[in-house]
Amino acid sequence: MTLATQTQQHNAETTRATGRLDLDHVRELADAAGRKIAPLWPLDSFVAVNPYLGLIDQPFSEAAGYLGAIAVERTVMDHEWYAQRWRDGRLTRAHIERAVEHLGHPVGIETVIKALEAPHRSSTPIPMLVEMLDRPGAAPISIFVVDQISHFLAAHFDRGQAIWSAPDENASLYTAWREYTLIDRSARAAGLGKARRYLQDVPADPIEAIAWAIETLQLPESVHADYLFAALKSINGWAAYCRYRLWGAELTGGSNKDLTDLLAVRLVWEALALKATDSAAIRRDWQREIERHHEAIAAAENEAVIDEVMLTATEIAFRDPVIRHFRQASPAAQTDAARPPVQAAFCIDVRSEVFRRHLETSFPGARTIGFAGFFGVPLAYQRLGESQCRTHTPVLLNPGVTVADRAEGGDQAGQELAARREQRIGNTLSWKQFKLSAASCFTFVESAGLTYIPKLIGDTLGWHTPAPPPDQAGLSDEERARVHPSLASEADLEARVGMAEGILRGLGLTESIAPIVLLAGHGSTTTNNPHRAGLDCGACAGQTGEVSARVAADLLNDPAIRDGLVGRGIEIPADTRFVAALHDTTTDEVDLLDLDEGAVDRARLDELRQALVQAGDLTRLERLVTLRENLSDSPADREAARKAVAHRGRDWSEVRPEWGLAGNAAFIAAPRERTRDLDLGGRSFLHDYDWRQDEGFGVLELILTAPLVVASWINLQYYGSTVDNERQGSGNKVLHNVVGGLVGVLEGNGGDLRVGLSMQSLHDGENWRHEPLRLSAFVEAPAEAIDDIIAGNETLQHLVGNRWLTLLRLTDEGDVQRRRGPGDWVSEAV
Amino acid sequence: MIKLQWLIPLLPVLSALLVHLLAGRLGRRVAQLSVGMGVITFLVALWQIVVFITSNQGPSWMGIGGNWGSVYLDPLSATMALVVSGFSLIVHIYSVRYMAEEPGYARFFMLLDLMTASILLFVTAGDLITLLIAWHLVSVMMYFLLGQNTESRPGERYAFWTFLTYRIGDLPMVLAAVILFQAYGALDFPTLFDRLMAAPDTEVFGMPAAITAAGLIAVSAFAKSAQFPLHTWLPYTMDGPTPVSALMHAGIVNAGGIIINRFAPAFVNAEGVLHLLFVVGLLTAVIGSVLMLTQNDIKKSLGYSTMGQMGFMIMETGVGAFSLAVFHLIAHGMFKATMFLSSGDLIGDARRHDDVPQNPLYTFLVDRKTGKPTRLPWLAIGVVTLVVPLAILLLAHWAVSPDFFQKQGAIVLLFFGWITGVQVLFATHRLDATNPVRMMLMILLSFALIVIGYSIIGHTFETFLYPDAAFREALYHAAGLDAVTFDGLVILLGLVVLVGWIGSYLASREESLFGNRFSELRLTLYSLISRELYIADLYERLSQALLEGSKRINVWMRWR
Repeated sequence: MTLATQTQQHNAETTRATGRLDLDHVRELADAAGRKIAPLWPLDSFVAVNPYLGLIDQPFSEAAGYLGAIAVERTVMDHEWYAQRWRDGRLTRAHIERAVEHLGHPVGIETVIKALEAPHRSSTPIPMLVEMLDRPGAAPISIFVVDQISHFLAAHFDRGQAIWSAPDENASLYTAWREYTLIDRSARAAGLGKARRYLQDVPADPIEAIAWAIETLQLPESVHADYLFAALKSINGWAAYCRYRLWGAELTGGSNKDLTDLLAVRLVWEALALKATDSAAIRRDWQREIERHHEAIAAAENEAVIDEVMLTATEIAFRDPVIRHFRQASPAAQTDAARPPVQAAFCIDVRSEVFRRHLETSFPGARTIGFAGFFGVPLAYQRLGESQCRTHTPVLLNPGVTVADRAEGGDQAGQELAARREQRIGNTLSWKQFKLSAASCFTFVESAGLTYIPKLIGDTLGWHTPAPPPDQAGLSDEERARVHPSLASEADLEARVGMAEGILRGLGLTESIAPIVLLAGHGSTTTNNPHRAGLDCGACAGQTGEVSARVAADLLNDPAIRDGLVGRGIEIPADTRFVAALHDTTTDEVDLLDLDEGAVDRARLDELRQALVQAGDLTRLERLVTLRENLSDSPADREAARKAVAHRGRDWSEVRPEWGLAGNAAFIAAPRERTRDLDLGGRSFLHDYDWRQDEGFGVLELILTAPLVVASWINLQYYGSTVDNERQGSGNKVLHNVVGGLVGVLEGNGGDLRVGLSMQSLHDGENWRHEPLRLSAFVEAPAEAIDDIIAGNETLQHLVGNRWLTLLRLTDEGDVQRRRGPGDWVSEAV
Repeated sequence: MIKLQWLIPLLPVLSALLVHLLAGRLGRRVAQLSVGMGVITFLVALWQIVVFITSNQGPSWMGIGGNWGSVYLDPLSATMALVVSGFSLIVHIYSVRYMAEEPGYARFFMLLDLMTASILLFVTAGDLITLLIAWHLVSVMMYFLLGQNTESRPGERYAFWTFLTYRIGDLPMVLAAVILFQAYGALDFPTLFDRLMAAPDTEVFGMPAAITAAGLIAVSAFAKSAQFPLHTWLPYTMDGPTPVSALMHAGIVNAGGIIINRFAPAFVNAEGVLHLLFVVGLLTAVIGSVLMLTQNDIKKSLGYSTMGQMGFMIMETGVGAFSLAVFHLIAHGMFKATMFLSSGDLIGDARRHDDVPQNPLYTFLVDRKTGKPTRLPWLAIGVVTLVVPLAILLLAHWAVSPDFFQKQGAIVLLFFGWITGVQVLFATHRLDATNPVRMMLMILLSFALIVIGYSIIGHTFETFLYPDAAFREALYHAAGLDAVTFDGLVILLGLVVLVGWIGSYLASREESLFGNRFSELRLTLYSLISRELYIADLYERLSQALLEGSKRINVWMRWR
């Protein structure tokens, strides 16, 4: 048979095959599979994502069983980890009893206690066909397939690493892959030499290709949905990146087909491998395996039910002391009506909790406030002279306003500065291109290589300065001081007043506004750290928070806006100044920005400055203990701590500059008085909220639908990366290899793109730094109000109803109630 | 003085021993111990080179008793000991924090110390047997360091490739040593090289000893320095932690260049082998650079860039510029170590450069599409950019050593310098400078300074490494080609570069001149390059076959 007739025959077969499957149905299947994948943001805006985002419509234990059976993914810790707690008494019989009761699972307590001592039963997942084709002594086909896809996608999505980029810029992912793979001969080494010939007959349309693959594999219909999801899971990192592209497109009203294309690619490989190895016998085995997938899922779910009891018991053990504290403290002490000397607003980030606690000690009388770090200004930031904006808004939202850099002295001066900046940045860029270019690198290295000695020595000894905040690039300090981010003129006065009102009501600042109100965004200063953006402000889309703070302070200091606010019932005292600040979470220093010294009371400002320094000292000492540096509270040690954290930020070999949000376990939305005397150990997101001042519960709705959801995302990211670092985390940082410019990291030479957090962010080499618990959210508000808001929001229904977080309520009487269902609140027995 | 030379390889061994013995008691503080010993080693090496230069005594040799088991102190070993101990110290300091809390922390430092000791022994060895032992130890230590992460399966696989290539490289080295010993009856380098220079035409087993040995050493150097086609292990060493990659790319991979310099007396009598070095080196330089272009991850891209640089280094030895090769490997080490150790800083970088506005420069550099039409006529630019750098280069070398043009090798290097110069001017021409004339002048000036400085340093270094002017002359002479071949080569190279430029110019235009006829060709070429010419696949099959074969033998011999 000639190749041509063969092709014809194949084509005929293909048409017949796809004829049987309804393409719209296939499209829906593919779409549904894709939506179960959680997105992965690229490194320059690396924000936390709930890795179970696509599965929150299922109860926790069901999703756990599903993931276990389909993707071998762990969703709770090893039994040994819980057993350890059991042995040292942190987990007691009472905890387990209550956990069983909470969950209402039909499990005996003895079963759970026995399971503690038994090793985790490894679930038998549904195998991908290529995994079954792997034979000892031959190159593993399953690894080859992942490598081939990963290699191609790295080229396809490259954002600036390769100098010679793939010649497929405008083609869709699937088309480009097909063309490339028709030429790529690397399959031979994996024993799939014939695959290229079969690929010619595969439909050029991705949906048809999926249908073709399903037909070729003779995939039983009952398995379709699960198998498609399993296929995407087998290349989870890149699937997550495609999901991010879809997310971004949909947020702006567009659409993106990359995820479906990737699914087509993965399934086509499956079918090609089958045809190329001509292994009908293996296919029969494989079909037997996948046909029992419902049993596998059911078995894994049974297992997961017991696991969830253990998890819930540890959560109860964590919550009890907190609840006990709430009970003992006087119920909802009325906010002190006297005007405080200073109010300081920080991001709800768990790292702020430590600093706030110490600031309150260092400055008696000062009130601290917790609020999402973008201060309610959903902005996109356009740096001086740039054509595009960068989002500084939680990724759940779309930016609503534009903030652009304006220079003093009008547009003329601005343009000059912009030109200078562009020139400088351009020069460094072309210098970089030059030294790495293929032709010039040899002589460059020979003649200029020795000039790297100072950098090499300087960096080794930590003399290096961390990268400047983005808006400082290309400008000197003096020039930078002349540039100011300001709201674009598109927002008129009315809109600005509205924004200002939103900020103040969110902060709960409608009366007794202090003479100095600090608005502190946060950012980190670390060096040589690909996941640096993950340490910056999540509410600012992985950017540092100073722009948001500056814009908010500007709004609130504007006399015209203050006049407008009076009409809305908020009067800001004339002597009040809002001061923007940046809290550096690596060094715990707080920089005051744009400070107009004349407008503030000198003595009070000095007092605040001293208190900030002292609070920084105390915070550093507290934090450094967890970073294994033994220091006590003496002046010499304070100095040592200051040096130690600064060095950590500058040291290019530091893999644990700070612990980020490790340890997070609780979310508390209540007046600060509730938590003031409580050392939450940097484990709690603290949002200030007083329902008595919230007419219509608009602020409560905002808190529950935005900050709480984001906190849960962060919490579950840490959770997922801890319980299964292999699949939901990014492995070992010392092997990280940045791919595609800023797309993500690989571990070592290749393999799939890695998602989530590295071991170094979670584990200190001996113990887990992060205790994997689902979020316990405490909200002080009336039950009906909370229930109403949940009823109106699907995400919240899923998160709360399917046990992805536990919702508790602080009552006016000082009780703590747990929500069991709509309208069903039960007092939590401790 | 020579006694102190013993300390250089022995101190790291002592350090490794102490780390091993005290790991239980000191815990993580063994790292400080290891760094401390590294500092002492570095200071000893520094002391040795300073004393060597100031005392003006010439090379010295010392064995422990017989004529083997010895160290050597000559310009090459003094320089390399300083460089290697310096790199090792930096990698040590980096690892203190970077590897902290990794399992096997103490073990890692012990391996690092042993690796350092092996390389230091290799560069200071004073006889064939010591050299062979050190050469062998380097391979073994490398395998252990790359396999540091004992749980990683791919790590094991790629470490195996490295091990395999290194074993291939060890065998010719052993043969070369046997031949040299047979021919000249000496193990220690001073006697061996004296006898070799006195009677270069001695034959062993009917073969010319010097040429055969040089050829074998060259093959061995190819394997260690990742020359085409024995290169694939190098870009695949990224399953080791970053500091290991840095040590590897800044230190270990240079072994080929060092061994060729060590045996310079053999190479000076082996014309044909020098030509082989030139061809293989040039090929590797070109292939390495081209393969680097398509890499999408930073570490592999750096890996192929190292391959290219190693090719250039070997090529330099091939044109007789032995000292320049050493200079190159030092400079490259500095450059590459910095690149590797800071390879995670892309976010910092992106935040410095992020989103440059859409202007011709940006579109050229970032989008890689063509900018606006140039303001000056192309011809004028061409003349200026092609002629000016050439003139500067010629002038610089003439100023430093007037007889330069008699060395063909120099012309090849000049050629590369000239390409660089042209590249600088092309790049700057793209810059949309507000004051192009001033900019141009500044760049020309700095270029001139670099070139002149470089020539001076290069020549000084050469007289230090090879003080014997006649020997230097002989090296260049041996590397010389006959006029016709040489001219042909230069023309060929020139054409390649020209075609490359025209190609990149055309490729950078929005619409291809030739329509879509070449798009398929382009894709084919791209996939070939992006698949690394399928050599990695060959390695994979080879190692599979080897493993399978050895398994069969096991079964067949009933070994368990």
